[in-house]
Amino acid sequence: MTTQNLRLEHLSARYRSLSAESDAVAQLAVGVNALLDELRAAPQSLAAHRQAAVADALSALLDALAAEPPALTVPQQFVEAFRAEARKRLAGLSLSLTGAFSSEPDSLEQSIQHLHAIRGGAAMLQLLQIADLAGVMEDVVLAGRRGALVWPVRPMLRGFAMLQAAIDDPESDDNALLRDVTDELHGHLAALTQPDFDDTPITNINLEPLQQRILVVDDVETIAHSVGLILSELDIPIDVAHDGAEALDLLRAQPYSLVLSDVAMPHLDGLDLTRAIRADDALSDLPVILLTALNRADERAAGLQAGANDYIVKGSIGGGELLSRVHELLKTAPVVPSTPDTRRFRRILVVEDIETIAASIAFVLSDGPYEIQLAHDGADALDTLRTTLFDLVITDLDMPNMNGIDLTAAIRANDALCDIPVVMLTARNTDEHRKRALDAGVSKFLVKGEVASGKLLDEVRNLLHSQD
Amino acid sequence: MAHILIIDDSALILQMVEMVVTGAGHTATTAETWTDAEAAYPAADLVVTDLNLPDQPDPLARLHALGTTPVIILSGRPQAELDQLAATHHARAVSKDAGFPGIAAALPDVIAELTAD
Repeated sequence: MTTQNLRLEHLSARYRSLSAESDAVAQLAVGVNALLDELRAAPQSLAAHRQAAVADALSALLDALAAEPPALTVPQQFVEAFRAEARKRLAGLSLSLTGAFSSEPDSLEQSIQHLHAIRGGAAMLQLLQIADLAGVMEDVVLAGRRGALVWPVRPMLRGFAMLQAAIDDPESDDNALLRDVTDELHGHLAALTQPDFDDTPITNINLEPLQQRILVVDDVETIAHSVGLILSELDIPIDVAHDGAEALDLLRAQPYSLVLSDVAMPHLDGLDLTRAIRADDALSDLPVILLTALNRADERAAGLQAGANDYIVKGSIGGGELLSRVHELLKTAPVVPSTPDTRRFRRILVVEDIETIAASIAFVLSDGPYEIQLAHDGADALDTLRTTLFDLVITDLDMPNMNGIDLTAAIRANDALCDIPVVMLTARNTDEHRKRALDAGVSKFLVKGEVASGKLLDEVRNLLHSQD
Repeated sequence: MAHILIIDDSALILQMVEMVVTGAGHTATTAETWTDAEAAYPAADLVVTDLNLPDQPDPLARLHALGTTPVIILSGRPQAELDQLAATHHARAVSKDAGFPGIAAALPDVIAELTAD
């Protein structure tokens, strides 16, 4: 048999095997096999070069019919679209969640909408950790709407912080802290199904106020923020350093009672920081807890050998474990002397006629070392500014009695007030409003809904720092 | 070929589901709000809807009031929970938890079943 005939035999056998695919393919196979039979029986009926071309074409058709459909993957454009949409949802959630904790109906509905949308989008894209966390947060708000639980405020705030971090990096799918807070929130919901549900807070440590100060050291801001949130239950000042070198500078500049440090950091890692603390006579008695994502015996041994008092895996800091260990160490830790210049909080006046929005802004700012006071319109704000010293004003634009632009102009016209930085935080997003505000003397013009809580805090911090 | 009305307040979900529906050979209208959905309802052979819409707390009840067009619930709740809900509303359900590939595989089949003559 010639090579060409062998090829035609092989094609014929493959077409017969496709007959079961569908009626149309079966009919095609019958026709093709009839053609192949003719070619084999009377090769001279078609010029040799045309036989090869026909065989090539039939082979290509066969490959196309037999090919498996490509696995459907999620286009990258959808992941980027999800990130953009989720960020907007989080901006809205940062405003609605505070009202939700006060069981305000509109805030509850908005929070549910935002979390449901984030959950749905993440589920579609198989971003399962994000979907799970958004889902359990939605379930908590639903339960809160029914009046079925005492709001787990701090775990929900940690959940919000973890969602923000995860949405910024959605393809990092192994996040111990995110799983930790998700499990904690599931625990709150699971407690609702128990007939003898006790609505006292999960952390039942007796938290007396302490005159102490903690330094948290981590190069990942969201982790430092999350640890800070957990420790805020202790109601004592918490500072953050982003690496060991910065931490050492802070420790030598002012007294602290305890250090909580990540291990893997640039410039000076947690182990070297611990050794430096132990080698310094002024710092050697300072308790040090090392926090790490790794749960390895050799790492733990190295940490304890460097001089750390305790070594905790980040995945286990929820549920009160970190809080109880810190509280235990603080009982014998140094007390920080209180001095006016280290303890003075910056005072911020928030001017906003809508109470829930004012409360949300105050809540966001409460993450920083600020005393917050509220005014309900420009006239009220001006009266307050004339009697009380403030470091910064955050004002809405549209308000009764005196709007934000007139308030700003009045502040700039007053010799005693003219240097106070003014941030306008408004829903108005036009060039005309921006120009009017800046012409009146606004220091920074921000648009509600486009400003995530972290950005607002950064803007406030930068403005206050520029005043120093 | 059927004309599918897709209702969801997420522009991303609308885009993804429209891709699945048109990829299966149907035409689609998308609606981000209940107001838009109600306007597009008369022309639809089938409705795919989420459960949470900012301007409509109970879309299933409203769809039932509008007519007898078949409904598929597409929501980010567990499939078992959605199946129970769908059963009480004479609808079908696909969970977003199946992910885009899972929905792309399941949704066309359910549409075909509900729109078969």
